[in-house]
Amino acid sequence: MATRREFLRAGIAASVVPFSLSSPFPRALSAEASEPIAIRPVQPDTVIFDLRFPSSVAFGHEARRRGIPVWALEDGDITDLWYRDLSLRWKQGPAAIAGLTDEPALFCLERLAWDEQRMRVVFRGRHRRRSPGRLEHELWGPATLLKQAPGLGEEPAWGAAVATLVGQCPEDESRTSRTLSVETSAESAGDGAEPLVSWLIAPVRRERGTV
Amino acid sequence: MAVPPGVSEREWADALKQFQQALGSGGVFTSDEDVALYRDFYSPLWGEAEERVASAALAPDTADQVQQIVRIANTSRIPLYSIATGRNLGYGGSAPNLAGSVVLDLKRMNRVLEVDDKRHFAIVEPGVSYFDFYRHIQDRGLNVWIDCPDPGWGSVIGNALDHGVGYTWGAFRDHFHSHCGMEVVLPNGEFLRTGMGAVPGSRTWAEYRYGYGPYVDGLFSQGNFGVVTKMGFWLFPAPETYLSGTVTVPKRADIVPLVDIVNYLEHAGTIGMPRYGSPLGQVRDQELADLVAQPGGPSTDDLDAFAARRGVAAWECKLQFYGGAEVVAAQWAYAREKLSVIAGARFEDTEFYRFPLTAEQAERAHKVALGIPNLSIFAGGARSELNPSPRDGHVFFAPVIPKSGRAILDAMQVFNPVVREVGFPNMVSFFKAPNTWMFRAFVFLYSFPISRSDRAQNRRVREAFPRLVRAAAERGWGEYRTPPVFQDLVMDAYSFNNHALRRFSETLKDAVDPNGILSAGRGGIWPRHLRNTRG
Repeated sequence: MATRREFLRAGIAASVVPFSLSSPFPRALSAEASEPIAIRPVQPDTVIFDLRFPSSVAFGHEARRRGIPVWALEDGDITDLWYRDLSLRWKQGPAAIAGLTDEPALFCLERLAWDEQRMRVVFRGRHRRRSPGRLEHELWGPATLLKQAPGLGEEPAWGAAVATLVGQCPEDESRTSRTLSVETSAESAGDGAEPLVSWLIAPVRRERGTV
Repeated sequence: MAVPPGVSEREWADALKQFQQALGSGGVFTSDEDVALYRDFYSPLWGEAEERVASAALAPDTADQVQQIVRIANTSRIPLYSIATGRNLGYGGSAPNLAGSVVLDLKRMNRVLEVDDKRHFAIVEPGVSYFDFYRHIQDRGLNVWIDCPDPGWGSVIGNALDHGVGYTWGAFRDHFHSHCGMEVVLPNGEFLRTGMGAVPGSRTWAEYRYGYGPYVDGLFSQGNFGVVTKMGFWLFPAPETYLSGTVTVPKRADIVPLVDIVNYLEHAGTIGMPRYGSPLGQVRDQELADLVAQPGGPSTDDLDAFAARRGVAAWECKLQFYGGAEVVAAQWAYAREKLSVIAGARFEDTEFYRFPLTAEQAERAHKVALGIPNLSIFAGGARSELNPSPRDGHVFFAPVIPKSGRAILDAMQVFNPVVREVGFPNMVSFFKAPNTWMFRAFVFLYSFPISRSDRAQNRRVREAFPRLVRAAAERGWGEYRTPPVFQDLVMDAYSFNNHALRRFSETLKDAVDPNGILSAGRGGIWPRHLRNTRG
């Protein structure tokens, strides 16, 4: 398994390719996902993943493959990520981040993003093992995006598929989101019982006058 | 859009316009998605009709803007609930006592106004987190430490006002005790400065806390008499070295002399925060489990016999020393000498660091004991039979008990039957050590799991609290901090002379905040118009 240091080095060295449909994505989306999303996708500055979970590592690999700087958490602790990177970057202005982590990491990042730049979670996927061999992906996000996600594949490959999906999350779509449950048959590759969350934190536009 | 209680939609719309004029639209939040971030994510009322949810949030950047907001609210009778950064997790988070209150979020006020590393103080705004404060000091190479709680993202001021605590030296880890002077916006919008800060052009704001006349700072902690916009704090002069050593004692009853001697060492200024534990309680063994499972619990003789057979100590205490290398070595030698009167006491050198730390030392150190903020506690939750969904949070039951070994043993006798009866049998422990954050008392902390999907579990927690609070009160103990849903309950236990303390606070509340706009219900103090219904 790659170490955090290797991931960091790779992420920094990689040329930054916009996290958008123009990138050569793997074909993780189904045939139903043939219509391109017209709205410009959010481009995360950094993708965060957790070395303890194979699906999360797959998420990070996919982001790195597409040139997105990545940050690997070794044990779920976001202290270094916060203190050495995000707290400094977010003092300068808003910057979107995405990830596949455990829930406490997102819990912290969601609040810190709100504190610093009034950014919010605009996409959230909850991924958990409901019973042996069955995974449930509970997705929340822009409706046009969720239409593109009928299947997410086996563990840990679904992590890469979710990375692709998150990479297409449109900016500024109205809040008419919906929850979509997707069940797949899969043997555990080591994620364990811990529910994981995929997410995208980004600036949101607030209509003047409606606060 | 939700409307605060006690005002019409039109009044609310008018007030919102005024708030926007004061703050700009970037400082006023009313959408459901934005306001949802001010829910208490550890609420034992999560998702239920009684959950205390805010109606809107306001985020001023300056004390002058706070003043404008308070004046508007006072005129319009809009209930405000002030938070610093809203990180009071386990004790209410950022959610108000009164549902529909407008959260006054002071996070944007995050300036470190002054740090003096020769006189060892600082003055900060309420949005300054422990991370912010630490970075400010590190970036400038200042020769002072902060004292921080486990999660380092909270507000220095907010934590102090909630009577939060840390991990270093006694004079600094009681965060309200270590404050010195404050600036407050009163409910009528007037500025107040306390202590030496009340002297115009004061040169000693953060050096002498009492000033002259009545000392009123306590009214603004766990209270609702004003919005604190600046506070001074005393800081720990950066020590040259840190040393820790551990003492173990063999028998269960040894906890009594152990605490007595450690108290002496701490109160005399020899050690920093002591940390108690029970090596015996860490043993996973069927014989011990059978002893513990006996009706009425294990006998002291049985536990001592088991511990002797296995060569396991009943109790341990980690002692922490801060200072010059020769000083801490001498203090540790002195502590060993004092503690050697306990038969069978053993000693182990645990850690020694000379500052600055190497990267490797910083990685493995208990960071908060060295004043280094972090968030690692959020990565430490463990799934268990008792807590199958630990990620959903917890609420703390936090009784203050006497700082004695006898009280530790008593507390287990008092609380074990209750936690078993209220449906948390795995919380029963005969080896529970006290929390030692307070300088002059123990906290005997219980962390009850909260679920965002299992209301029945949350109901059991809510039902457990009155039993626990009553059990504590019958022993003359009270809680130091609690979530809004239990604050009236806890305040009820402070009932000497027909609740004279609460009645006194209510008298003050009526005089200082006659419209009852500030943080109604905080600390069990309700304004007159909500007093009978408690919100």
